[in-house]
Amino acid sequence: MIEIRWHGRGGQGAKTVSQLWAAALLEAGKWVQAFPEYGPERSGAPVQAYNRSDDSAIRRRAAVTSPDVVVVLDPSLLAEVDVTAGLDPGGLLLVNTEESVSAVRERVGFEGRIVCVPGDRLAIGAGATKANVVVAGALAKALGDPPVATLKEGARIALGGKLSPAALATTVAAIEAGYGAVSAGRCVPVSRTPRADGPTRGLKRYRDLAVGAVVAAGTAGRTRTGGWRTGQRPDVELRRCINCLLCWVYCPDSAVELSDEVVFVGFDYDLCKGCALCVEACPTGAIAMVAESPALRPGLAPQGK
Amino acid sequence: MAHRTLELPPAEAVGTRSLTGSEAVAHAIRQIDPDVMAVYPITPQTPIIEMVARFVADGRATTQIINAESEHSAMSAAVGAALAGARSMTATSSQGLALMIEVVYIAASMRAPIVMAVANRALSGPINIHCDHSDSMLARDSGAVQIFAENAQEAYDFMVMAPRLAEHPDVLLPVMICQDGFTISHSAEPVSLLADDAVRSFVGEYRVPYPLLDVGRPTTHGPFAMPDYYFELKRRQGDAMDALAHVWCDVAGDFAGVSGRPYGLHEAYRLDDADRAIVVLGSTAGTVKDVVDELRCSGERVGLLKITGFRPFPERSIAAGLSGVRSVAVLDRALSPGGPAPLLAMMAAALYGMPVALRSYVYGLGGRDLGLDHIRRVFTELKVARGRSAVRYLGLRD
Repeated sequence: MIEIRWHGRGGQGAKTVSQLWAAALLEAGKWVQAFPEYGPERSGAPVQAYNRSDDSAIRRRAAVTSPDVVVVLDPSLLAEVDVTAGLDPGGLLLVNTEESVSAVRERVGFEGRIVCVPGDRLAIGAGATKANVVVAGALAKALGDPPVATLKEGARIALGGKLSPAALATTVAAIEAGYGAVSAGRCVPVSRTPRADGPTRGLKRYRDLAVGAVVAAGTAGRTRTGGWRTGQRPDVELRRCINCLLCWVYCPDSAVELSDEVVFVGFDYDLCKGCALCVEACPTGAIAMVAESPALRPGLAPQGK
Repeated sequence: MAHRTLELPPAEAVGTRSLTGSEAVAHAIRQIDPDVMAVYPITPQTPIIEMVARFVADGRATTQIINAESEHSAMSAAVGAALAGARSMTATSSQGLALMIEVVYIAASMRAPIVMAVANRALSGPINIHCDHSDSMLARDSGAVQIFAENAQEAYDFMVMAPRLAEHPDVLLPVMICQDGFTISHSAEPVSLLADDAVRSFVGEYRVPYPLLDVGRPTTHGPFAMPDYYFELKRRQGDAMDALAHVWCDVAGDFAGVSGRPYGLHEAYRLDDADRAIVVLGSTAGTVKDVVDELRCSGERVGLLKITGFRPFPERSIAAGLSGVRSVAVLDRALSPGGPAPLLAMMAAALYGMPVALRSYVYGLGGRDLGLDHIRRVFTELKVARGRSAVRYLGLRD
């Protein structure tokens, strides 16, 4: 049995690509499973999806805790999520990134096989809007299975009903681009030894929880939701700001920074998830959404920042 | 929240008066004088809130009554008020409890100690206004405490005890004080009221652990809980329900000191040397007591185990109370289509492994009367009961 964990952000197609992958492997004669795991249901929030494939019927419904393969669809997740949790050194880590294998290895500390594919660039080159299918193509090559023709058939089965013929052709081209971008390899199922402390590490026992699930207020600042932004961030034209602080009132993530004199000074881009509520709340039009600057996106900043 | 002081008109005459269950509970609410009562009228609960509203209008209680647009909203308002630090109550029946039910679960999980006066009434459909316990059974797994009264006196007494049960720091759960609709809620009988100041000093003040409006110590209430914490939080709620058994002993002990009326979570009636027993909730227990006395006069060794605490269910003490009994009839006033009736299922679990025959009877749905003859028949059938048997229906046209 091969188990795959896909890491993506809401809207990047982690769940879709897991279903595409399952359709392709079913075509290849395997028994398959594809299932998502939802957290906060918002675009940009970290999400996981999973695949299982085997030569016999798959009956287990337990979580995938020690995958053979981990795929990361967004490089900023490397700084936000423990992507190699449970991944055996004998397994494969495939990352959509412009960075080198050694740079990724340094970021995540994984000693096994790492494959990097510049999925965003290849997707744009193929005319596609998402890198997920590029990465699927690269994964098929890196694992040696399924054949690219079967993966493309899986795309037709999984997406044919949703996409126009032109968009489907773009998707197929993106799969081919990913397939051609990495060197061939094989998948060797790893021995699964789930960590004893696995999913409960650092979590409180029930006796230690506050009555009524009450938690301290003001914890928004501890959750770095800056990685949730998908392409746009708010920017301010201070000349037009009248310091009404409505943006501060409406911001759900404490990302509006005030001076000690309670004067608007700007945004904390580690916290801003790009929801644009501040743009709506601003009565003078001082705030507008502008194209993302990679340097301001957590996890994408150069190392050592 | 501190109670406002108010120049009250001369206190109610203390002592025994003829009151319906609704009136008795309304007097208890007047004496407790909660900060907030959020309600929507529904038969047979309506006389409770009508009378409380009259007390407030007459200046004899200071409760803020919130006339909500539905029971869902009423319960929601009570949750907010309780978490802010207000002693909060509501009252409901049947469809009203059904509409509230989503928020009853939330109140229990947020540990909002709301006292709920319930006049039990059959759930639709067909639509019906009379008593059975299907509404309370709908709330069985909500996490709310459920206390059943046999008569108007118990309805009053349990209502006086309810704030201390609900608000105890180890509990902090909604507490339903259930009385049979019409049979108790609309029937006048002698009720002994405590003095107003005795009730007021008995219930004391409500101290909320995390006041919602304490801006100096801000807190987040009702957060999202994923698979990593939901289970622990539900388990923690279970502890609160378990704690109620101990809290009951203290509160009931203090109440006995004030009133002279001691209460357990169950009542064993002439069970000491009994070989046959009936187990039942609510007003029917009184009818059964009469039949027990009658049969005892002719030398039959019969008894009653009345369940007062349905949630938490005093499983161990019930099993101990029935340890010498050879056969037990469980009388359910609710159905669980496709499975054992609710009380029967719990009794079967409580008596697991004990050498006792268990008989299941369903009675009284939608207000169907249960006569003394039915109960005599049950005791007769228990003479030959062996093991488990199929459910029987009392008073049903077969």
